[in-house]
Amino acid sequence: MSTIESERAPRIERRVDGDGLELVDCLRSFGKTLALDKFSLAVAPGELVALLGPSGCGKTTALRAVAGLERLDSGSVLVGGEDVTALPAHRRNLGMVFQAYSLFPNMNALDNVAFGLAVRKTRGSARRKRARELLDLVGLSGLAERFPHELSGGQQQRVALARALCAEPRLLLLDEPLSALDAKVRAQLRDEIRRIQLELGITTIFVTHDQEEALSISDRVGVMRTGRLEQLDTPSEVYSSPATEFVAQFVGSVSRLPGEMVGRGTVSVLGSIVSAPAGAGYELAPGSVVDVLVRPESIAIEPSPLGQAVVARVSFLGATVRVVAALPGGVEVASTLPASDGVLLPAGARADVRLRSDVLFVLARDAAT
Amino acid sequence: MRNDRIFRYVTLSVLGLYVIIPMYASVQFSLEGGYHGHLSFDAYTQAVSQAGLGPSIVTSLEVSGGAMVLTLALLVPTILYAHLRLPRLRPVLEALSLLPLGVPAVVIVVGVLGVYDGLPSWIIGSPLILALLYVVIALPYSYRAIDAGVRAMDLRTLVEAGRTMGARWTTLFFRVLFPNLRTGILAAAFLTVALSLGEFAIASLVLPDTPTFPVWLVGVDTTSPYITVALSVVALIVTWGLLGAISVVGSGRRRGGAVITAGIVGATEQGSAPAEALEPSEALI
Repeated sequence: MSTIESERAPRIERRVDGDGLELVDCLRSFGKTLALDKFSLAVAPGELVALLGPSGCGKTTALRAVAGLERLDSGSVLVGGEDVTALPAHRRNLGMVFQAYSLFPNMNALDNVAFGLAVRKTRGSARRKRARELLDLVGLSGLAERFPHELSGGQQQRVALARALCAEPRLLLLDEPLSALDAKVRAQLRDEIRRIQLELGITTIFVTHDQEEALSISDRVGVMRTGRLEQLDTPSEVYSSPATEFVAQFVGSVSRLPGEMVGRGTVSVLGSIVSAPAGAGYELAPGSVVDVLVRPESIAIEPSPLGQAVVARVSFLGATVRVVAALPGGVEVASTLPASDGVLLPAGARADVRLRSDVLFVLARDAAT
Repeated sequence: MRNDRIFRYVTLSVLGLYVIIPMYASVQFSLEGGYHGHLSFDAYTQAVSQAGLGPSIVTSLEVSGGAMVLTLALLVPTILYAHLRLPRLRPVLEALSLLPLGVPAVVIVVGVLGVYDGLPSWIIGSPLILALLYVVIALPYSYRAIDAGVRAMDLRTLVEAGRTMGARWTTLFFRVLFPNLRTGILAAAFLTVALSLGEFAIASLVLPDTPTFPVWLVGVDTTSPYITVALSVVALIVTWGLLGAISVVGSGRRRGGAVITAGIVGATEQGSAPAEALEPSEALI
């Protein structure tokens, strides 16, 4: 048992009480479209892994294959070391929360939560006691008698979470459970899910296309593209050390700038010589023309009457502003600045642009074009 | 707002009179029994004592009950399966279900009897053959009633949620699907029963020796119009009673049910994404 820090609760006792999950060389196609292309993933007991990717990348198919809701063309699904590939969904003992509101309309919240135990023929009083505990866990103990149509979207998803957990499943599978909710409720419920997952120590797969959600909630993030994992790593590593150009561009935002290799692992960009991370273009010979990907926070845009760049757009984001400046030649570069600095950079103002830190990713010009 | 209310009351009043005036006239006609100014239940008491009434009612109930059971047994699993596994087949099923509307009853009888020719004689000469025909005749209405009920709920998500929680198909059907489809199923049952109870043309052709209630009623008409009208009034009241009972049973507190309004069944609130937006899958569920 370990202790971790959390925003809502200063200290949460982290339990590890679940089974691990392993997907091995999973292949699934829909006609000519390959949804899972030799997809493999290993999730440790008690870990929360977010599968992140654009629409159609195969993340939901992977989750549904784990749940038994999707047949695999080949490959295996192992839960706690047991091969469950051929087991039907109702015999896998997994809990799942869906993107769509999935509460049974003919049952109140308590009966919905208790459903999993009811089908297992658990005694009525024990069933209701357990269901009330779970409703209490998700903060809805006062709404046990309400029917789904009497609950808000956020409340319905909380009940769905309680229902998924009620029968003590081996894994918790979350299929974009927050996508139908408004931004504020989404952030609240996201924190709740993480708190509950840590308290219960249940192994969890969280599928989302929202990178903020994935980065904030998970132990590791798996970035998917065309049925394959591009990178599986901690949120900070995925953000700061992307393994591929796709990951660099999909997670967070980047500007693409022209540069030139000046040595092994060093690149000249915007007049500065900075380190280049390992990756495509890293091994290029000095003098090679490259494109580099840079995060907004690595770019400094400062007002300067003699500056070479011109501020093209300024977007107010609350505490920060996003400033886009056009460099000579038309290349645009974006930076995130404190809102107080943004007022000094109205659209059309001249500015200096420089690098604050190392570049994120280097691409050979051929690869870039 | 005020104009809206006035328009609503006027419309409902006109509609009400349209229904009530013939009903009132029928009731008065049957109660007068030919003696102006003197009301009595003679026509009703004579109606009950008419020869052949009991057997015709029994035949009608057998036919309508059989048609209802067969309709539900055939359509509910078929529509659920089509929604879950064969969504692309749904337009074909819908088109097929409409075919009986475009084919005259006599043509259906001739065609279907030809197909049923190989069946055992105990089926050919029994009310069951009529029940089989009424399943086809009622298809445009019964299919839509159940289909509307299925469309009104997010079937795929409910099924998948139930399956991941450990429910077998039977548990899922009786504890989740049936309660949420109750209104649609009851509407289909009612429409089939109502159609079967009132149908004359096919019944007179297929079962001339075992008359159903409408066929028997036509025979009575030639001797005593008062009795016929009295029986029609009773039949109408029974039919309305059925409609009322289904409305009461189907008016539970549920999201995404189906409502019956003047025989038209329609979907209410959409709980979430419609099933047609989802791709078919070959699941282990």
